[in-house]
Amino acid sequence: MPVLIIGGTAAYGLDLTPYRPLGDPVVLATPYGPSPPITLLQPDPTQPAVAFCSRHGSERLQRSAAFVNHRSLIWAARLLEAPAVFSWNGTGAIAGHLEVTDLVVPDDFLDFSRRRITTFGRADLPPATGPVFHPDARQALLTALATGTTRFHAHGTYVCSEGPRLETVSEIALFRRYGADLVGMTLSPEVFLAQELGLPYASLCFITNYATGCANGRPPRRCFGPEVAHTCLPILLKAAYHLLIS
Amino acid sequence: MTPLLILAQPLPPRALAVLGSPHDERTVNTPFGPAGPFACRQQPDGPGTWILPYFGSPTRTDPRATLWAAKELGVQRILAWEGVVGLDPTLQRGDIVVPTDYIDWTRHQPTTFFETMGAGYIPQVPAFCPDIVAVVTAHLPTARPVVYLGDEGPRRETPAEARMFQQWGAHVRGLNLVPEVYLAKELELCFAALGVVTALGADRHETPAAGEVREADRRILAVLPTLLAALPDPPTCGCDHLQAGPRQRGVLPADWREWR
Repeated sequence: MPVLIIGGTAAYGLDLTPYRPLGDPVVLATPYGPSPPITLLQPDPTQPAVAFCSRHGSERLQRSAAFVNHRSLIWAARLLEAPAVFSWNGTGAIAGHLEVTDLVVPDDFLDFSRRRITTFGRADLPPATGPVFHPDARQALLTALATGTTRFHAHGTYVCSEGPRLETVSEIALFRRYGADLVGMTLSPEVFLAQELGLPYASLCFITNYATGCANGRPPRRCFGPEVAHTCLPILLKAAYHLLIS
Repeated sequence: MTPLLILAQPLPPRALAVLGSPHDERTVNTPFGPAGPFACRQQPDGPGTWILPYFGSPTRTDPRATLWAAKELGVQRILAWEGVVGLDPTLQRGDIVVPTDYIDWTRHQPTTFFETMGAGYIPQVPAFCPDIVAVVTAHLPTARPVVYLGDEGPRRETPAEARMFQQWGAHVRGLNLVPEVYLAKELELCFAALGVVTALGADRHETPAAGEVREADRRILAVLPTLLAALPDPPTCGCDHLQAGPRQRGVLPADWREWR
C-alpha cells in the first residue's frame, strides 16, 4: 500500500511528469467529502509507487491552510491503507540559525491556530498518544536527508498560526519566547488527525522566508517558487522508500 | 476623500457636532449582511466624515460587513476610536494610546474575505496605517504607542489573563480592532485607531472614576476635525495597493467586489 505524500508550497501547478505518474489522478470519497486528486508516482521502477496530492489545490493555490479540508485529506490516507504520511510545508524562520532554503524536520509543535477542526471526533478511534511527529517516519526522513546535499536541521519546534495573514512582530516575539523555531499555517490539524488514525506522520519544512521581525539585518529573501517542490518531493520519495525497507 | 470614524466608545450627545451637521445617512447591504447606519457629518466647506457607532461584542456586526460597506461608500481611511483596558501598570484611566502593533487572541471572528480563494497572505508590518498613526500622534502628542491585544469578549479578561497578556508584550486590551485591522488590509483600506484607557486590567486595583475618561474624550474631540483634515491626500502609506501583487498575478480579479 502506498505511502501518502502531501505537497505544500508550490505543489499546486507542479509538473509531475519527471516523477512518472501512473495513470490519472483519482478522487476518493470520504465521510468528510471528496479527497483532493491523488496521483500514483513511481519515478524508480525498482521501488514501490507512492501516492501524491497537493494540499492547497491542483492548478493553482486555491485554498489557504485554514480552509483546506484536512479531514478528507487524512481520511484518504486511511482509505489508501498508507503505512505513513509525509508532507512538505513552507515555513518562516524564527530561530536565528535557520536560513531561507534550509530544511527542518520538526520534532515538536505549538498550536496557535484557533478555528480549525482538530479531531475526527469518533468514538471508535482511541485517543492519540506518543509524539506528534512519529519517530520512525522522522528517522526515514532524516536518513533520506543524510544522503543529500541540502542543508537541514534534525530538530525544531513548529508553531502553527491561523493565517492567511502573516504574523505581527509581537506575535512572532511571543512564539519565540515560547520556544518556536519556525512558523507555518498548515500542520494543524493535519498531523493530529494522522496521529488519531495511527498513521506515522513526518513533515519536511522548507524555510521560505524570515518570519516577521526575524531577519536580524539579513537582506529579505522569499522563496515560494517551484524549487520548493523540486527540493522536497525527491527527498520525501526517498524517505518513503527508507520507511518501507526499515 | 471622506474618512470613516468608527466609534467603539460611547460619547455624550452632540459631542460630534464638532464634525459638522449630519446631512446623509445610509445603511449598506453587503454579502455579509447589512452594515450601518453610517451618518455623514460635514462642515460647510469640509470633505465630511462618515461615522459609524459600533459598540462591539456581543451585538458586533460581521466585521467584514462593516469594511465592505466602507469600501462601497468610497472610504479609504478608517479611524477607530475605542475604549480600552489598560494592562500595563504605567497606564492610567484617561490615558490616550495609539496602537502600533497587535496580538490576535480572538477565537470566533472571521479571519479573511478569501475563504474560497488562495489569497490573503498579507504582511502585518506596519500593523496599523502609518499615515493615520503619524497624524494622530502629531495632533495628540501625549498619545502613547502601544501593543494591542485583540480579545474575543464580550466578557472582561480575568486577572490571570491580564498578566498573561502583559507577559506577551501587550499594553492594552480591547474588543474592536482585531480582526478589523487585518480585514481592512485585505480590501486595501487604511485602518488605525486611537484608544482611551477606560478601565484597568483585571489584575490591577481600580480607583474610583474622577472624570478622566470624559477629559480624554474632550481632548480628542478638540483636535478631531483638524486631525481628520490633516490626513495626507493622496495617501503616502501604501495601504491602497497592498493587493497589487496578487492582482498583477491574476490571483485577485480587478473588481474588489469579487474578492471573496
